[in-house]
Amino acid sequence: MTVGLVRNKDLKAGIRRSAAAWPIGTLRYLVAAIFTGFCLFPLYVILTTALKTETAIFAWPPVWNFRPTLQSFYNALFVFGGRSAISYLINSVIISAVSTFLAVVLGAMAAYGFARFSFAGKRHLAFWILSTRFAPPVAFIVPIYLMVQKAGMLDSHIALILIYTAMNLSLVIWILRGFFSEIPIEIEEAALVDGYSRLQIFWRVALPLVRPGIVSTAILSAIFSWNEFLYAMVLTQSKAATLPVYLAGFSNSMGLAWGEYMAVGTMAVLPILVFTFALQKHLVRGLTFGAVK
Amino acid sequence: MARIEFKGVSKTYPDGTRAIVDLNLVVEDGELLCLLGPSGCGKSSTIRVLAGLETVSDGMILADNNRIDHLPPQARDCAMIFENYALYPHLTAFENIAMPLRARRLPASEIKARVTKIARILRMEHLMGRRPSRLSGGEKQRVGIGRALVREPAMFLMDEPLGHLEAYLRVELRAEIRKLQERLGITTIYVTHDQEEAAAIADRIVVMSAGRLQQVGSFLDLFDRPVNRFVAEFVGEPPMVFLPVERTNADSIAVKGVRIPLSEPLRAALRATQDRELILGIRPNDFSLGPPVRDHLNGTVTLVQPQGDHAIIAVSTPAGPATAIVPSDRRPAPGATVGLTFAGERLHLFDSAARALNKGEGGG
Amino acid sequence: MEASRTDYFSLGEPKPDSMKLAVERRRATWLLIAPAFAVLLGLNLFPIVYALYISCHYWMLARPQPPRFAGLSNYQELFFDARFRNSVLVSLKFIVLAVGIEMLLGFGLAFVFNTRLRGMATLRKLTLLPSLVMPLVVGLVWFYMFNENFGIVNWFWVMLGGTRVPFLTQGALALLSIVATDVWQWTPFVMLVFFAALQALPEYVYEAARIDGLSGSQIFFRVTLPLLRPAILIVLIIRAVDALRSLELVFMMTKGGPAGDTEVLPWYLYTTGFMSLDLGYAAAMAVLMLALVTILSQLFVRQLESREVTS
Repeated sequence: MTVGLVRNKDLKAGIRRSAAAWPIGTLRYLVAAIFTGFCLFPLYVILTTALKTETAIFAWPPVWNFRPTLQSFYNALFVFGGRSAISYLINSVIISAVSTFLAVVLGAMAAYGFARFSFAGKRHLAFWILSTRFAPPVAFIVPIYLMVQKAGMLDSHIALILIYTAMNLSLVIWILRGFFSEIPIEIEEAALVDGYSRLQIFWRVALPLVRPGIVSTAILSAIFSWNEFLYAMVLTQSKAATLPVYLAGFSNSMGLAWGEYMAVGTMAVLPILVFTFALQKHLVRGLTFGAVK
Repeated sequence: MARIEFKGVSKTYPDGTRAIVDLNLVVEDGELLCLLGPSGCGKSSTIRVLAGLETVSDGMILADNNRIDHLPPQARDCAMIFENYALYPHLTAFENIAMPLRARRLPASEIKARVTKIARILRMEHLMGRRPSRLSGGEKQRVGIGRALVREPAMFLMDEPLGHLEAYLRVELRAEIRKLQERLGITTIYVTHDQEEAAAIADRIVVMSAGRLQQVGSFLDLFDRPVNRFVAEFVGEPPMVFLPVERTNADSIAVKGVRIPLSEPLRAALRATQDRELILGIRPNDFSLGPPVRDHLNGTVTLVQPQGDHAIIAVSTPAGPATAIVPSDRRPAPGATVGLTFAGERLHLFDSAARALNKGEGGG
Repeated sequence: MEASRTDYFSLGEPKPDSMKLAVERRRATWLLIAPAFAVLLGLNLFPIVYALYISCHYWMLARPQPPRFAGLSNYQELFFDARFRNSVLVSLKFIVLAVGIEMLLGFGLAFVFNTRLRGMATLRKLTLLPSLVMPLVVGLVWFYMFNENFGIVNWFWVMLGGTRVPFLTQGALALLSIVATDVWQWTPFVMLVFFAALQALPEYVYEAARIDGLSGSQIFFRVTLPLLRPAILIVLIIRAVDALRSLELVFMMTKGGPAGDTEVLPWYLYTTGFMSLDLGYAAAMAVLMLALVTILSQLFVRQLESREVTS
């Protein structure tokens, strides 16, 4: 067989390839830009609706150029028929922060345990913890509502905090386990030889080395806690109610207070935008539980 | 079977790196040619450009006088063996070897026949059902070889195929590769940085440095008649010793006042150049060590490395460090003062541009 | 001191002189894992058992009578419940449509973004936002956009030559609108996973394929697709389970209407449990849902396990 395998179609393919290179790049940009625009457009709508006057909100055809006003924000936060959004906002912050903290602390400890120690049934336990990620809140609220009620903890911060901690543990443990096992074991062995106890090694040696993992799982946990709706709505009323509970009340407002609700929606969405860019690097690893790096 | 020709080939990468500079080379039909050189010399780029994995920036590549540098890899009739095996991780060894045949949509029965035959030649029948993750390095490379062989291509391209294997496997596999190549007579280009490997299997060797071809020839050509200092230093282990010399006359030189006897061809070459800055090159095997002699090159032994039947001696001379190889029973003690002697015909002289002075065909 | 490295962190036969070390190791393991385990035991395992218990009772919060044991009659009633069957069907339609479209779109878009062209990375990062935004707010804004009287979607539709459509209140359209919203929300996530998987594909395999003579489509079907299979399965299972349990969109946009056309299983469960306050019946639905989710999560776990073996 000689190199006379210069088939005509390959010759043409060789030439056509270089000619076709140019439009493909432009096509990529076009599709990517359209898709990105499509993704961002509704977010733009949230913001603009929050800044529109009532007439502009209900206008047909929709108004693109308008005079922005902060009236809706003001109403939602301070006035609005006795239902100010501030306490909901504060509750959201408290509950997200504390539950994230707990999830990361407990999760890091357990993750280290899984990464460094062997014991009977470890594999089963690990996979059971992983499977709790799929727990459907709607199936759990029936027993959990009764449990919380019987414990007298309805409309309390602690109930939501504990539930969100449980909700996020699976993610934290699974991701940090991966990070811990990437630490070269020699570093910890050296510390053991130096006389540190295992818990001290966890605290002083291993934990600082997985800081990027901690940051990304903390941010993801915070986002999930912040966004969570069903548990919050069923288990809280006024004292511990979070932003999603406020937003859920939209249907009760006879669907008219668009501006105020969009304003609260903006406040609910803004922190996410900020954290997303900080999060990028380990995001996919986090969202797929390390299945795809 | 193919005769390959590089005509003025250059390759510059987008970041500005000039990987190949004006390469002109002919690879004869059926020969095993080694591309030899240090990391970054352009040997891998050359083979990739030939395979079609990279485009040529300038010049052209011909195979049997047909131009191929504008064709995609699929259209060039070459098979490649990679340093890291490049096996399909999700396929069994059988399927890996079969892939080139499946690409050509051959009937299943023929594929099975040809792959089994290759498996038998490589003594791998029992491994055919395994995935790469369950094969050792040597076994993986055998699969790679099988995948290349099964196509009966016009040329074999091998990019440091034995680089990741243990030493004993390297020796064993390179012999197998050479035997196969001789039997099939397929033009082969073999990239390596190991000159011992090149010496062992190549018909001819191409020494490259910084993207440029330095010299082409058999190992002996390169060893005895290096065309510049780079080739002289790179080929031969331990490397050649270089000593700066002063020019005392139109046709004579001296090292730190010690007059160096030159052969007639070398004297003629010396007369032909005006350079005053010259470097003398001597191979360690060409040194003889003896008691120090007045008006000769003497030095102190700094290190003795026994190597079995011979020993490598490092000597510190007034002109610089030198290395000599002597039979074990005649090795000096460390710290001893020795005199270095050498035959005039075995010397090499390099001018200020590091080119070897031409001694003509009879020299050395 | 331990003898060999492999023994080091494993619970092998404790040697007499290192008994103390082994005890310390066991204590450390317990201390590290127990707190998380306790939380999950109490808030995950126990509720499941409790739900089973509740599902075997007549348990109405609105009635003054105490709960009464009912055996499996809740389940029996579910079996004949047409509304339940409808909710399962609607959920199925929703999952197949939404996840199906997300997988196809996300897969294709991953290839579009799989390039080193400048600016593409920034665009790609921006697309992730829909998947991270509060789902309730997603429901809110799309509720606004799908509105019959002033919605932007209608504006586009009219511009393309149609008439104003009641997207969320008309039969099959309602479910399709929810599907569209879910697609908007989760396609970026699917795309990102496939993108990461594509980036992780080894380049040298493609070089070998080109040398072997494989054409573009052969490379896609024989190399790319098989190598992407683990990622496909993983993202498929994640999306299927998440779509099955999602409630926010229906809550904000259609509330199960019109006439049950968007009444997905979670919605029926929610209204049964917290509007009709029939906890026993709701618990039975919950148990069935949990059974289904358990099967799917087992598939997921098995997929992850096989990857751990091959890598």
